[in-house]
Amino acid sequence: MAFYETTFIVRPDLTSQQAEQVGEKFSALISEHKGKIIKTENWGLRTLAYRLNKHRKGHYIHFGYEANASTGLIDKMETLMQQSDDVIRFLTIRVDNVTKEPTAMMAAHERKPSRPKADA
Amino acid sequence: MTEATATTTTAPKSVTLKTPEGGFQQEESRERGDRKAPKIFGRPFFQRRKACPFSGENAPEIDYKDMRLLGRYVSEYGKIIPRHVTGVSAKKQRKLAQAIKRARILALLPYSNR
Repeated sequence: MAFYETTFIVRPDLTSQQAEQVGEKFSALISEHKGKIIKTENWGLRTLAYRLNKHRKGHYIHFGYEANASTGLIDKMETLMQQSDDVIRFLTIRVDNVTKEPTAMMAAHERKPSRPKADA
Repeated sequence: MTEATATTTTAPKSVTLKTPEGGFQQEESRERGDRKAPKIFGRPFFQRRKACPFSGENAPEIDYKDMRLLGRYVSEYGKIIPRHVTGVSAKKQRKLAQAIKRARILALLPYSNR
């Protein structure tokens, strides 16, 4: 078993709920392959540093998990992401450890003053 | 003849620059690539070596997700700043470069900013 981190960007024209659903599809895939999800993070709709498939923004979803490469999970997931029209970019890396603590990205979010909702 | 006396005799090539003490001193126009030991008044002067910001206790961990950290090590054009400017150790600079490149793949950092 090894630890992995997968981050991917979902098309911005989907709603954040639809983006969550795309994320759930992949988290289900990890569980199916006997992987253990340690954390799931939604970084929200972020502005991209450069245009990707003519999109300027994207929903970022991040997984930290433990999995066995011999189950073919990583290959399978990357193939599905490549074929998916909803995922515009993905990155999987192997890391030494994954903790439950929120990543630096989530910490940066919390420091921002929460914006009042338009419909509130 | 030592190098120091040799350079003082060729003083007309010198330029005025501000020293850390606040005064103005003359600096010999240096040879290319001789950025480690600039000479002031022909005397050898060694720049204080900056400590590596990623070594020692309480050092931040290099992480491709930490935009606040990585942002400090790229220029306004999006280029990775060389370590002789930032003082990062060679080992940590390799990790830093890797992290910046990963952040670029995820469109967190630009490849170029023109």
